[in-house]
Parts: sequence; C-alpha cells; structure tokens
Amino acid sequence: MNIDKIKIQKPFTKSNITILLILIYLIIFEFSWVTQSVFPKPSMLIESFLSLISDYNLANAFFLTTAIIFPAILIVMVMLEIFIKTFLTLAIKYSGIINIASPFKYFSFFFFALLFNSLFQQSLFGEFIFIVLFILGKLFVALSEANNVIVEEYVEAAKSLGLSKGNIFSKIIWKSIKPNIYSKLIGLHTEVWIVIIIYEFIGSVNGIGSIYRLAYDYKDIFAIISLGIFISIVILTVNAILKFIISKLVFWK
Amino acid sequence: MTNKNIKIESLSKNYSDIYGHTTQLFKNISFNVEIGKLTTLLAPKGTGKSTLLKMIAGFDENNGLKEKRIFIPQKPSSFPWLNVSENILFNLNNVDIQIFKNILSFVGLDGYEDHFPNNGSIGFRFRISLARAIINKPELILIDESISELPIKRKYEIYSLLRKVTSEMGIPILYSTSSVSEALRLSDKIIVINQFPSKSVIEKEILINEESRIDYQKYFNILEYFSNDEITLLSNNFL
Repeated sequence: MNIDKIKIQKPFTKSNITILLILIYLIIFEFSWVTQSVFPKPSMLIESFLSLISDYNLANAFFLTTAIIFPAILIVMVMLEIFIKTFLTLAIKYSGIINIASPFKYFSFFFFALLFNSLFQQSLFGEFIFIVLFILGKLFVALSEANNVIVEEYVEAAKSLGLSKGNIFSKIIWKSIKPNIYSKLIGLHTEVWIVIIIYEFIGSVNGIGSIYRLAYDYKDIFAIISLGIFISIVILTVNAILKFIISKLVFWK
Repeated sequence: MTNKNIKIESLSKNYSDIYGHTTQLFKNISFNVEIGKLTTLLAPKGTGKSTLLKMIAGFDENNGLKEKRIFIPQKPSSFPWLNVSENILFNLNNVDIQIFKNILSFVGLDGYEDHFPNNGSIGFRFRISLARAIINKPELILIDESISELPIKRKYEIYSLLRKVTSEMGIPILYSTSSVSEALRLSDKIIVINQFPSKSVIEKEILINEESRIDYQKYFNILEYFSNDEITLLSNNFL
C-alpha cells in the first residue's frame, strides 16, 4: 500500500466545526427553544437581511464601501510595484525612523478616522485617501520589518553577477520579500473592513458603516447581527480569493 | 582567457562587534590561484573563509577588478522566482543559444530549462548557480562550501563536475571547505589557514597530484571496510 496516499481524517476541521455550530444554532433557536427572545431565530435573521436590502439600501452601501476598499488596495499594490526602489530604500535604510514616525503605531486609527471625518465631511474622496494612507502605512511598516526575511544569498549572488544597487533592490530584495508582504495582504484586507466600517460609522453618511449607525440608532439588533454575518461571509470569501491569487502571483517561498 | 595566475595579495580584515571591540579576522593573506586548477581554502568553521572569499570576489566597493569573479554562496542562491533558463541567463544579453545549451548539458540540467528551483534540492540549485557562473565567463569562480549539505554520492557527482569545469573549461575555482577529506578529494592545491582568527595566516600550501587523489570507485570500496565514524576519524586526522 502506498503510504503517501493514506490521508489522516481530522474530525475537527474548521469547516466541520462551523457546520456543526450552525446546525446546533438552527436546532436550538429555530426548532427547540422557540420561547426565548435573547438570541435571534435564524428565520428572523433572514427576514432582517431582506429588510437590510429593502429598507436600509444595503446594495448601494455595499457598492460604496467596496468601491473604496478594493481600488484602494489595488492602487497601493500598484504604487508598491512602481516605486518599490524608493519604498525599500526608505523602509530598510531608515526603518528606525519610520517606526518612530509611523503614526499608526502610537495613535489609534480611530483618532485619524475622526480627524479625516472632520476635515473631509461626507466626502468619499476623503474616505478613499484615509484608506489608501492606512494600507500604505501598514505595508510600509511591513516592508521595514521584512529586513529579516531578505535572503542574503540572493543579494550576494546578484552582487557577484554585477547587478547595480538599484536593480538589487527591485529585482532581488523585493522579489525575496514579496511572498512575505503579499501574505500580509489577507490580514490587512480584514483589518481594512473594520477600519472603513468605523470610519463610515463616525461619518454616518456613506457605506456599510452608515447602515450600522442607522441600525444602532433604531436599536435594530437583528439588522446589526445579520449585517455582521453578511460582512464576515464577504470577508471570508474575498480572503479565499486573495489567497488563491497570491499563491499564483508569488508561487515561490 | 589570459594564461596567468590570479594573484591574491595582502588581504586583511578586521571585525568590530556591537561593543566596538575589534578583532583581526585575517592579516596579509596572499596566494596564487592557478588557471585551470581547483584550489581549496581549508580552515575550520568560523575562521572567516566566507569573508575572505567575498573580498576576493570584489564585494568591497572600489575593488578595481577588471574581470568578473563569480561567488557562489554556501546556501542555495538560484532565484526561486525564475526558471532554470532565466536564472542562468540572468542579467545577460545576447547569449549564443548554442553556448547556453552546451552549458546546460555540461552541468546536467538538460531538459530542466522550464523548471523552477523553488524546491529543497541543494544539488539542483547548485548546478543552476554553477551554470550561471560559467556562462558569465568569469576570471575565477569562488564557491563557499555550497555542497557541504549534500549526501555523499551527490557530492561526488558535483566534485567530478567541478573538476571538469577547471580541466575542460579552464576556469579556475577557489573552493572553501572545513572538511579535510573534501579538500583532498577535490583539489589540485590546498591552502591551509591557521585556525586562530587573530593570527590567520597561510600555514601551508599542499599540492595534490592525480595519483594521491582518492577516486570515486576507490572511496566507495574503502567505505565497505570502515564505519562512517571511522571514515570521519581517518579523514579528520589525515593531515
């Protein structure tokens, strides 16, 4: 028998546990314990979600939020690819200064969300700039920390082959740390959703955050929960897609 | 290629630690690397062999080298984001396709042109680095114990390949190692460096001729009579 082909069955995988929890939730709150009113029934959550679409204009809000998140991530990644030589020089050579200067390290993003909301009132452009700066700041810190994952042998080989300093940065060091930086994108994507929702919650004009604000004002707890479930499904789905794309883009380790 | 020896002259290196203490790693090291020969730099680990090789390769700025010296580091240095062809032709323009194919076949990578070296095979990745070095037509190839992690039979294949590079292509190789047996089996000339960092000097130069080099077949015959420990003991006490 080929030992390689024997698969060890793990009973407690992430998806198995999720399915089990959903089943327990369905059985207890939909069919067994129908008299309780603390936890929402699954059927009521579906109704709430439908009301989110009809009453809260979820489609429009979802479009506005995603129209900021994804272009912002894309623009930052394109900027990184184009200006990588400058970014790496700044991040690696002056990593200490960047760490001290990194405002996100010592100030909560909440402070900046308030600031931007005050400066750019009801402005999608302001929101976009805020998210771009947030992603850029996070990736900049990641770049300065990536100093430890640079494979010295690649740099030495490149030096020996007569590559210029600039080309070593863009063709060797960047490629060497790219898997590390791109793998951070998944966590960053999740973080960006939280940040943008809080930003929009404060401004209470555009996007998913403004729906949360409205549902909070109406004390519509079921709407808040079904919106939370919806957003987490979106984040999980996009993370899975990102993981797939990243595995194709940076296939080396 | 000019028919002359490569002179390594008066190389010294000081090392300063984070507390500012300065240690002299080596001082006034001079020797010759002969064209078409394989010279081994033999010294225990931690005596600055890699640093010496990098200095010879011209890693210091303003090194004034007129010809290329290719350094192959100890750990695999082929770029995993490029395939075998792209790795070998890295930073080169207008390479004759026939020369490229000949080198590919010479190092035993024929048919692997499109493979990516993002695997754990040290031998495969070393062959790529070697082909990349050869195609650059260097004055000297410097190898820093790059095959020390290989299994013994794979090592012997690489030894034979390195000897072919020097004898058939005429490219001299300076190979650093801490293994006496490796130095004996591989070299035309061994340069032994004193093991104390502050006094590092060339202690002796040993010339090896074809007769005194144990060949592949003989080595495996010896292995049949001794245990691995005994072989290690024998080779460590050889000098």
